[in-house]
Order: sequence, then structure tokens, then C-alpha cells
Amino acid sequence: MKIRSPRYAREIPQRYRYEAAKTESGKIFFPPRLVYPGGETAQPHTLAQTGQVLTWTILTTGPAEYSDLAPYAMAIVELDDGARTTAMLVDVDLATVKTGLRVRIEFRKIRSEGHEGLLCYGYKVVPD
Amino acid sequence: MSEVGIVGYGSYIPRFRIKLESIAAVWGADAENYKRGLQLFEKSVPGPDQDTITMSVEAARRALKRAGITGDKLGAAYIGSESHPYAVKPSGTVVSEALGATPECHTADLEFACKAGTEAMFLVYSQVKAGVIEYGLGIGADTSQGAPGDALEYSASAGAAAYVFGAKNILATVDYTYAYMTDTPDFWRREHQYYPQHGGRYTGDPAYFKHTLGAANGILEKSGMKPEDFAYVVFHQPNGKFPMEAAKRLGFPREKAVTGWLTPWLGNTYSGASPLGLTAILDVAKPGDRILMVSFGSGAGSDAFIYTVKDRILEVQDLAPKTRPQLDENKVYLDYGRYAKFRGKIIRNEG
Amino acid sequence: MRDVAVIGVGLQKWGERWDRSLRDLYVEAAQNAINDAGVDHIDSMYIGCMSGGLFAAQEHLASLMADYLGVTPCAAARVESACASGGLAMRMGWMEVASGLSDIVLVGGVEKMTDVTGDEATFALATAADAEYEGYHGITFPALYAMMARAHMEKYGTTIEQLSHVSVKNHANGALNPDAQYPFPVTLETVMNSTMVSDPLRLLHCSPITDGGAAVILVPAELAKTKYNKRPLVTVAGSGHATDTIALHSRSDFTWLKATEIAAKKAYAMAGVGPKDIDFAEVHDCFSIAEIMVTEALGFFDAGKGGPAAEHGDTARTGIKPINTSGGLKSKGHPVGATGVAQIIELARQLWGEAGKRQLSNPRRGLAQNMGGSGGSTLVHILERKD
Repeated sequence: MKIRSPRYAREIPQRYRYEAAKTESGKIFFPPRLVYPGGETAQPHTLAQTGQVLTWTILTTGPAEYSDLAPYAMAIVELDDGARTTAMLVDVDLATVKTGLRVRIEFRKIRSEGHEGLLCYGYKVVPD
Repeated sequence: MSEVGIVGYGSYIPRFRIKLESIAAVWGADAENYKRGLQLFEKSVPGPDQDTITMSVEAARRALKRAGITGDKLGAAYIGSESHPYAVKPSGTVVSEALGATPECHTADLEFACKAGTEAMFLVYSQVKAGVIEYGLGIGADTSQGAPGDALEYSASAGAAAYVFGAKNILATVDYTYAYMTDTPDFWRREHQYYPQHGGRYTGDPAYFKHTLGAANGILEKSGMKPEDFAYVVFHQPNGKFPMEAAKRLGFPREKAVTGWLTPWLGNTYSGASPLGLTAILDVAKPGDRILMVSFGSGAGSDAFIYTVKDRILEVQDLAPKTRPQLDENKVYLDYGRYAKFRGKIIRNEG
Repeated sequence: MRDVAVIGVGLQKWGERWDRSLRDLYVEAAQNAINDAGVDHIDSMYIGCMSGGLFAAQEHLASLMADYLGVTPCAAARVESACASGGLAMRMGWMEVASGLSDIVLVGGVEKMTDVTGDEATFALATAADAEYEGYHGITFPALYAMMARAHMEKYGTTIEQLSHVSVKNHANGALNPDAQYPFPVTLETVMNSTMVSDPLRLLHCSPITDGGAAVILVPAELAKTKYNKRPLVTVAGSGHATDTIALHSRSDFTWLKATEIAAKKAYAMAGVGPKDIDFAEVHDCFSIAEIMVTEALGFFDAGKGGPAAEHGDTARTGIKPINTSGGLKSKGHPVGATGVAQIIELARQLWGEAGKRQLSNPRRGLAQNMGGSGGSTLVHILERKD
């Protein structure tokens, strides 16, 4: 299914600028939400840009739109502010990917919707 | 108006490389001949997830770090490239949005073959000087293509350089600018064509040298300066040979041109070429150093700048990745097959 | 709440069924269940289906299936919980009979996965993850479970051999199941050397793409005793249902299936039993690591001990806790919406003594665990033989 403009543009603050939210109890939500657990409210928070790999895998085949990058590494990353998210890990020798690897966020093209559709950008991580 | 100049600078070079031999082997060409003739050994290659926009964002973030300002302070952002990812839809707005500069940021995409980067710098500098904006961003970035088997395939590479201009916290003042343009059809690409055309040997004296030397002589005359007054000179560098020849013809000793000379290992980053060369100079420059920069864009024209480095340079050089380490370290070499796949040179199914 | 009995089951041979459409697969299984139960009408029906829309451009399964089963204007509802859609259909049907609202409810599940290309099927399955924060970044389901596997292996020392033993066991069981997609055994070497899909998971650690349907008939236990009593009475002793975060990265512990733990506890509490009282179970082995993690979350083995238990043969048909005598998702196949219902079928057949060559020796209580996505939703049902 092709990603169309409204669905793409709505997530730009998160994909380009890592805009998250932090609740009174200090938990970070990325993306920000309409409702937080326990009825808490949250303030804007920008994610830390560096962190470490918590767990990872190397895909031999990915979805069609990502197949040119295969084999590629995916990681769940814990950023230095405690927030966690999922990202592709690139510019790395796949044999060196490991839990605990220090990484930083980099702006990359995530996918192209065919030859004629949108170019979709966002965050990946690279070894720091 | 008081001084205006560079407040921050940043560079981004992708990690992938391909050696000239790998390209020559596929086309049955004489690698050594090309290496000698072009003075070029290898070039950078963008990954499938990299383009003019992604490299511009990273280079700009580094420039903002050195400038010590946040993106919302930018009043304008211009991206010069001949490989904007969209034919219609600006690269500039993606970059401005990513930097947090929107919505109050005048944004434009520029093109003028390899000169589009210094064009962006020229326009942004002018807006600051005129007092229209407080800070502005000018970027030169490209992921240009050379037609398979053509001479340009050995050199067309990828990279980005970004400059923040302002009137405060200057690390290098802009003392003089000069522009030299003519209609000279040495290299072009028609709409809907995938690869550019070029005039072969016509791209040399009638194009590159005429405009580079024309702009250089023009700015030297305007400023009353001579090669001895400069610590560094950087030219547009489509191959390793032309910029050194230009230096020689203008009377600059080789040592002054070497620091900004990246093409032998980087390839020709088109709109990023002289801007990236300048970042390599700024990475090691000392207060008081004077720099001459002359770009060249086919079609044709050259922008010239004279900069004087200020004390603040020493505070910012280490704040972001330098250019030479990005060029020399952590390289990943590709074979021609992977290179062709990354550069979209292989016919695929639609969809 | 009334006790609810399973009185009839139906499915068909699962696999790449080029000859059967989405509606064919459900209707065939449903009619087989109706015939097997001997009921002359149904009061309502549930259809568990992850995505008729993305696989077959068909929604509104309620109307379609009632029409093609010939039961219009019967009440019908399609329910979805990704790969737990079948288990959810079971819970909905059970609730409707237990509450007293209906007496004869058909619980069915179906998925038609081969009318689209492999890439399209991968995309449809990936919608069970967080589309914007997992899918957008290049995730697939093998990748998510591979990350859980890696975390489990690093925390507990679980090995790839242990994962592979799960596949070998499930194929050994499936070889005895005539409806299975892959009714043949595989060796440990074959599993360990199969193509890498997402490190460390290889092809034979992953359940396949399958077309299939499955259905059961539920009635109040009292009605089963009086009217539908040709078989031993098998009732639903417990039902549990829980959710977890949609994204794997939001979970507190990647090595623990919390929704399975919570749903199981609810089911155990309702049934008044504990893990040691369960004789056998059908669990959601979408990937071998999932079976290992599920057996831990169900309380059959301590955290981290699921791998050694599989390697040791504890979960084989002849072991102390037989898991997936049907062949599991790996060997039986995984038509997403049908899987949860097929688990109930295996429980019923074992409890009735109708499991053929797979028959366990006098089982009294079985558990079915069906989960969606990377564990974001889970249904647990416990069935008991009452006589």
C-alpha cells in the first residue's frame, strides 16, 4: 500500500525532529499521544539523539520497498534519555552488530513510493 | 553594515566508495590512463537511503552546531544541487522542516550545474548583508550521475556542505564577492533525460578555465590582492587535474591549493565540490588566514569569494565531524554491481 | 454464566489451496462442523479473519459468509485481533452461549493468503505491528520475533538448537495429521541449515503462508448432555483475554509475553486450576521462539527454561507436557484467522479420543493459547472432559 500525503505529513514532527512527550512521572512517549496512562498529562520533549542497541536482527529479505537495502539490520534502541524506539541500523559492518552497540540518529530516506510517488524520510541509526 | 560572514559550517560525506579500477574493468577501459588523466583514484557513492536532502540535513545540523544557533533562528535556507530528489517539490522545505526552521524561513532550491552550492551561499550572504535576515543557510549538495561507460562516471560522486551566514559570531568574514557568467553550453541535461551531456574537451579552456580564471582575476583586481596574500585557495574540482592547473595559471603555489583539494579521493560532488573543499580548509585554518574560493558551474559561470578567518574558528572546528576524517576513515568499497544497484542504473520492474 | 460445550468440529486440508476462495474455505469448514455436530440450525456465528480486505479485497464477511453458508438472515460478526482472530472468535462465541443469549453458535476462522503475491502477504501480515513506528522503519514479523529470540538467547542462554527442536517436534506431530500443510518430519540438521530469514531465525523456524478455514459448534453443556451426547462431554472451563503494547519496543521485557501470562492467569482462575493441571496445550508457534516463550508465560516452565524443556523432549507427544500435537502452526500451517479455532479443534479431538495417530493417553484438560502480532493480544482457553 502506498503511503499518501496526509498520513506521511502528520508524522513529520516525529520523523524529522523527534518530537516526543514526557509525563509528570518522567516516562517518555514517542510519538506523543492524546491519552496517557493513569490520567497523566505530558510536556513536549525532544528525544536524545544518541543511545545503545537493546536487541537486534539482520533481515535477509525485507518488505518490497526496502529490498534494495537487504541484508539490513533492525534494532530496538534505547536513547540516552530512556526513550526506546525501533530503527534500521545502517553504515555498519553487519558482523559487528551487537547488543550494547552505541548508536546515533541520522536523517535518511526511509522509502520511495514507486517511481512516481512520495519520497518518505525519517530516522535511522548509525554506529556512534 | 558591519561585517558579514560564515558563522557555522558542516560537511557530510557518505561512507561508500568505488575505485576507479572497478569502473574501468566493466567498460574495458584503461584504469591507469584515467587515473593519470583525471588525477582521481576513487569516489564516494550514496547509499540507497541517501540523497541530496538527507546529506543536506546532516551537513546543516553540523553547521548549526558550529554556529551555536538553533534552526528556528534561520531566516532563509537555500539548497543548490543538480540532483534534487524531486523535479518539482523543494528539497529546501524538507531540510528547513527537519532543522526546525519552518515556518518563518524563506526557502528555495537552486540549480546551476556545479555552481548551485556557492550560489546558495552568495544569495544567503547577500540577504544577511542587506539586513533582510539575521542568519541564513546555504547548502551545496549532490548525488550526481555519470552515464555508464562515460568519462563522467569515474568522477560523479556524492557529498554536502552547509554554511550558516550571519553578522554575529563570525568565524570567517566575507570580504569580497564576484560573479562571472556567460552562456557557454559545455555541459547540460535536458528535461526527462537521465544522464547529462557534455562537450568533451570543450569543457576545459572555453568553459572551466575561462570562467574560473575570469572570476579569480576579477576578484583579485576588485580587492587589489595577489596570491601571496592568501593562505589557501580552493576551486571547483571536477577532477584532480583542473583545480591544480587553475592554481598554477593564477600563480598560486601548490601548497596553498592542497588542503581544499578533495576530488582525487572524493570524486566530483558537483554543487558540493568547492564548498566541501572550503570546509576542509576551515577545519585546519588559523585566525588571520585569508582564503580565495572560486566555484564553477557549467552553462557557465563562476562565483568567487574572499574570506578572512577570525579567532572564533578555533572554538568551533571540533564541534562537529571534520571533512578529511569523513573522507579517509570508515570507508566501505563497493563492486560495480552493487554500485550500479545503489545508483539505480539497473533496469527494474516498475512498481 | 452457563457451561459451554464443544460438540462438533470442521476444517479441511490446509495449504496452498488454489482451488478454494476465501468464502469456500470458511463455508467448507463451517458446513463440516455443522454436519459433525448434527445441529439443524445455528443462532449466530463468528468469523475470525485478520484481513479479508488486504488478502482478498473482501470485507463484510458477516454478510458474505452467512449468505454462502445458506444461513441468511442469521446474525454474524467478523472479529479481528491479527493472528489471534480465531481465538477471539472462540471467546465471543463462548460469551454468547455462556450468557444465555444463544444456544447454538458457530465459531469459525478463515484466511486466504495466496491470492496475493508474497510481498503483498508480507505487507498484510506486517499490519499487525505498529504501522508508523515499526512497519515504516522496515520491520517484518520474522524480524520482530528474531529480536525477541536474540534477547531471550542473551538473557537465558537459549540456543538455536533448542529453537530447532521445537520445529522438529512439531513436524513429527504434523506428520500424523492428515489436514496439515506439511505432514512430514524434518531433521534437526535440515532445520538448522535452512535459509536465514532474520538472524537468528531460519526458514524452518517460521510458520508458513497457508489457506484454510476451521470451525466449531458451541452449545450449552445442558443441551449437549441431553441432545448432542454421542461424544464425551467437553466444556470450556476457562477463558482469558489480554492485550499488550502494540510495539515491541514499548514492552518492559522483550523476553516475556505478558499478555499470555495475564490471559492465562484469568483462564486458570476461571477454571480453578493451575499450569500443572493442564495435560497438553496448543500454543501459537508462529516462530519457534514463540512456542518456547509461551510455555514459560503459561507457567509450564520457569522463565528461561522453555528451551531446555523443548530440547529435553518435555513437550513431545510422549513428554510430560505435550505441546502442539496437531503439528502447531509450523507443520499444520497458519491461515491467520483460522489458527485459533483449529487449536480448539485439536483440544476437542484429543479430549474426545478422536485424535487418530496423534492421540494422547486419556487427556482430561487442554489449553489453547492464540496470540496476535508480537504478543499484543492473547486469548487463552481451557477445555475439560467432564465425564
